[in-house]
Amino acid sequence: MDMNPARIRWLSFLLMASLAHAHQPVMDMAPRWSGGYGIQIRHESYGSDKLLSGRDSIVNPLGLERHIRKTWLEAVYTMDKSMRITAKLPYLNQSRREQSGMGSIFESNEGWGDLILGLPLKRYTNAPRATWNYGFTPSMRLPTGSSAGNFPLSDGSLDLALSLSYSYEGYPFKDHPDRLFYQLYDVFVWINGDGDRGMREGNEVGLDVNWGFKPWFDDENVTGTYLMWDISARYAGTSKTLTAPLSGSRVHSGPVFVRYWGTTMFRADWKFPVWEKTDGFALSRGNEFSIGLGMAF
Amino acid sequence: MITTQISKKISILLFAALLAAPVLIAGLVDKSSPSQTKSVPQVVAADELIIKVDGVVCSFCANGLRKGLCKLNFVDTKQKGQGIRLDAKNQLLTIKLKKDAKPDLKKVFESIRKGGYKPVEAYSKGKDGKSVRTQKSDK
Repeated sequence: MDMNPARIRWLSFLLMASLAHAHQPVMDMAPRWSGGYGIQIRHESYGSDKLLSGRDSIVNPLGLERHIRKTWLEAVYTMDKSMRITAKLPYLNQSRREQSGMGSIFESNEGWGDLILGLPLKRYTNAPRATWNYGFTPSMRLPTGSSAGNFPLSDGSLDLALSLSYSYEGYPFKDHPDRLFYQLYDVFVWINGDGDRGMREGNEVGLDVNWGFKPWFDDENVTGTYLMWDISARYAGTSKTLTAPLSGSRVHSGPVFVRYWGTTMFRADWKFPVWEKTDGFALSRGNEFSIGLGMAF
Repeated sequence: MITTQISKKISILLFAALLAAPVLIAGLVDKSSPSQTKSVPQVVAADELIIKVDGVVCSFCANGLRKGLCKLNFVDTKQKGQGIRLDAKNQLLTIKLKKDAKPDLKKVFESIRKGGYKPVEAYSKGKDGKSVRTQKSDK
């Protein structure tokens, strides 16, 4: 069958409605060279004491709250530009104030979480003044975290994900020929399995979008700065877990700053809740902060 | 109730717009041919090779080009940037050559492909010492 670029783009667009997984280690397009590898350490935190019922904020007389901090160790190896393998392992430090009878209790836990392995498969196009790729990424989350205790680090299940992405970087604007533009779209679904002790996280569908420019760069000294905007939308099915994650839908959005020099890159994200709707009573996810430092060789 | 319905419609429209955006923006891509851009060098020094490379728009992503090319024995890695200079805006890669070295273009093009990019053509100094000699990549 003749697969011209327009047909591939259209088929990918259709597939994006059902599939995908975001924020691959280091950068979306690097390392793209054969035998390239990268490592990244990234810290993210989120949480709040804002209690929601559906879309409404309600009073929180018991002072219930939840705060999650994750430090991700991430690695990527590129066999050639069309195939990579990635690994992401979080170290969790989590705390919450939970309802207990008529009062509340404070709980916390700390330790390694679940290991995520991914196989990003990419189809690149290199064109004059632009490069873009379509990505298809199967992933699995292995239950390496402990499912013990009242506030476990993992539900102990084996989870599977599929992601479909499209990213573009280049100079697309005829009226601004020197303005480098970047965009990423990533649609994904996590199918979560049955865990230990009757726990089961709801399946999750998500869409991540990044749009940005590179206002400052110096190719000769390999430095540059990207300013981007991120939109993350999620829908999570009903969960039966002791960690009580948010079931429902949410949209977070916010700015992203990326700076690279030589083989090192730094990324900082801040995302605030734009829209949240919970199933029943649940705490808001709150503001999300993330900073990461990565290297590609 | 009306507010909920309106916000639901806005959410659906926003989601549809996000999904349609890559197709719409892809249509804005400047599809001008390499010869139409200002990136063909007018002057090439005797000790250098300039390569036009499609897709190379970011110097961080192009680190693999430097990694591969500086292993070639005719590249003067003692020069700044290990003998490799990138002009991502014009998609030109300048390779500094060792004195009296004869560059193997096949190896240069292959190294660029392994770096994740598409070599288009190479420019070197012509035999008359003034003109620019152009050699196209075979793939």
